[in-house]
Amino acid sequence: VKQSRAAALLLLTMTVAIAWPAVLPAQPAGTSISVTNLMEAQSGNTPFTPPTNRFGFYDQLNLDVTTGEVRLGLRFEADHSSEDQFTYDEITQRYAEWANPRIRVRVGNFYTILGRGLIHRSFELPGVVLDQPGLRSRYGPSRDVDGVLLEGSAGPFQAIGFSGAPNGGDVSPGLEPEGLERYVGQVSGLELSATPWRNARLGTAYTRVGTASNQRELGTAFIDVDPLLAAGVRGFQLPLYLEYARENATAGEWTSFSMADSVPHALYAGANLIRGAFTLSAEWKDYAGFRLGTNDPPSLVKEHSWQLLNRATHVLNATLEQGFQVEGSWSLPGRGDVTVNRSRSDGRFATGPVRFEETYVELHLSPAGWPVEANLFHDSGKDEFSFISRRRAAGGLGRVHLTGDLSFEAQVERQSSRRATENFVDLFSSISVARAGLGTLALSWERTTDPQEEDPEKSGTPPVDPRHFFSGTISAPLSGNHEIVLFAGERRGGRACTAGTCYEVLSFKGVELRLTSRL
Amino acid sequence: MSRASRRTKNILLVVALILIAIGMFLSRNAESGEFPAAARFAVTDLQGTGLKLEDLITKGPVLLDFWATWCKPCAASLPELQAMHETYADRGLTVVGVSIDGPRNFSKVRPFVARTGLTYPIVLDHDGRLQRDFHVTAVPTAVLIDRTGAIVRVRQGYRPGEDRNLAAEIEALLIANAVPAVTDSTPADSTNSGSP
Repeated sequence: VKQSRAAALLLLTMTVAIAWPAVLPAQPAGTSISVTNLMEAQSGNTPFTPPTNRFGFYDQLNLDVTTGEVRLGLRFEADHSSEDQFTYDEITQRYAEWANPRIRVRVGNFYTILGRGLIHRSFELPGVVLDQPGLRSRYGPSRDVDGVLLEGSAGPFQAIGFSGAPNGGDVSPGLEPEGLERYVGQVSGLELSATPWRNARLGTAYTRVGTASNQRELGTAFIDVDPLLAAGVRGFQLPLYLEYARENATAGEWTSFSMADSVPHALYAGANLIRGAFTLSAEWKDYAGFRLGTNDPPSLVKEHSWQLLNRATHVLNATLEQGFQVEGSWSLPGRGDVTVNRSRSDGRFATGPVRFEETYVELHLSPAGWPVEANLFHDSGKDEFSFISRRRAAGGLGRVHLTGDLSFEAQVERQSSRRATENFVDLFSSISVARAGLGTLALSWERTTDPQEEDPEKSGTPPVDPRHFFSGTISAPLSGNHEIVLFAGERRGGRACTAGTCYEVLSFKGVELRLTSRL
Repeated sequence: MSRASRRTKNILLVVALILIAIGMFLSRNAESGEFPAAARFAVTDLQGTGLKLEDLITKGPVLLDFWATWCKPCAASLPELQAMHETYADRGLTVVGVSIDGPRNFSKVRPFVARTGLTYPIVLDHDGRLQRDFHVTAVPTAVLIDRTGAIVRVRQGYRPGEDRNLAAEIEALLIANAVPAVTDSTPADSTNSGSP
């Protein structure tokens, strides 16, 4: 009965989203309404977990209404499953905003950033739907603040002030009745900045975060400038960024720029040198005691779009970590470009130092006038945070434009790793055919000999029985306002990163349908 | 109220909300032919130049492209956007690239732009405001805004060759812009003059 009800809801939603004729009168003149709906339905489950025919339905609707300088909005989320646990249907965000060219006032849920996020960043991951591990309740991860936000500018000066309850982003609304709160504590912040000349910005910010019994106060100052541009030098760019933050520091203590592990601090420095087709970027970080839950200091490890590298990346622990990243690239117009990246993160824990490091090289070939392009990469390193003492990966992607509308893409990746005394290999391959305006059909195969992912019924007896993950995906636009993605097969779980933020994805075996409607 | 009836009520609530939202959308487009208005924005590009939607649309249509340095389909689409910029900028089109890279990748954006040879303005969506105002749920997403400030087209994702559809819509908007708006230039009182 539960599955029938959920299936009926799914079918009804799809039918309505795609074909329902207009029934309501046109919107009032001068008022604009924007609606986006994301619906995701699954039939299946995480592998080796009963029942295998679990049915789940998640929906997220975002509605904004704008009238003149006033804007109102809400987010409605719902999650139901055949297990009928931790389900919910509720308005998870709402806001009212008034804005003119100088001032913006927002009451309700909001996002903002101070500096580069060392002391505060509230944000969300658009389009990402997570499943609460263990308890199984899906939600859109959002690290918003529920309170009041004020922004203003006058000439070269800008100000941001806010106060509210922060959302940790790791609890589904379906778990709130069980006593797990999404919004815990209070965070308040103020940033004052100035743009004294073009392409230069400097500022200072302060936040207070915590609960009534445990308050932390943090201050920061930053400068963002291109001295060559300011000096009128042409042909070169040298953008520089420097930010240093401290906890509970007086102005005198702050200016000592202490880097001691015992002093809660965060330092981020970045520089680019750009000369025509040659670019060089370098970043340095040093964080101690800065894991606040309401901030997002830059991780510095390169964010990869390659499937295996993205999963094997390092997640920052700002409790005690320092490191660097250097990247150079050179492009030859009409031929392609090459990118070389070297990064390192050193964690200093009571059990001893641990290191993540990698060296990455990518060659992109795109000969002018040819209907072919290719990317090849090689990556080597280690990740002692995950007990990986050696890791090597290589792969490539080729894309052929068969006709004006038809294209074919093939991708292959291989990664070998050593964890303690175990060696294991990951393989990923995919092929896809796309036709402009019609859609994409993709098939993928993944294989791993990682003992930690072995079939529980076969584990314990060497050699490791490889796991295989086969899947097919069809994605297509339905009219100009809807995009549908149909997945069937088995998806490997693990770490995934989007827009610089990493999260855990549960593995899944079954069929999944996602419909995004822009209304 | 029993658990079953509460559940049924919840499901009906979900369906009702979705129906209302979609109905409002369909009525807007199907009956009145109107398009949703783009959220007004004022941002500064990587060169320090201010960009305000109200000012940009006085010149012609605006194409906002949401992209990221780590996004492979975005990288594949950028040469076509650069070509659109080179083809239509003189006729009034403004292409604006909106990088949704977070603080982790802010420092990668300028080198990426230089390496790719993009010459149209690029802005960093520092606080994610543009993403949310334009309801971006995937990258790349291209949003085409006409001279009235209405969103006439949203393209989510990218498949090679899809630039032609977008180019055709831009061309149509530019042609519409080029046609003198006779009724708009007619003095208001002359329409009610009662002349034979």
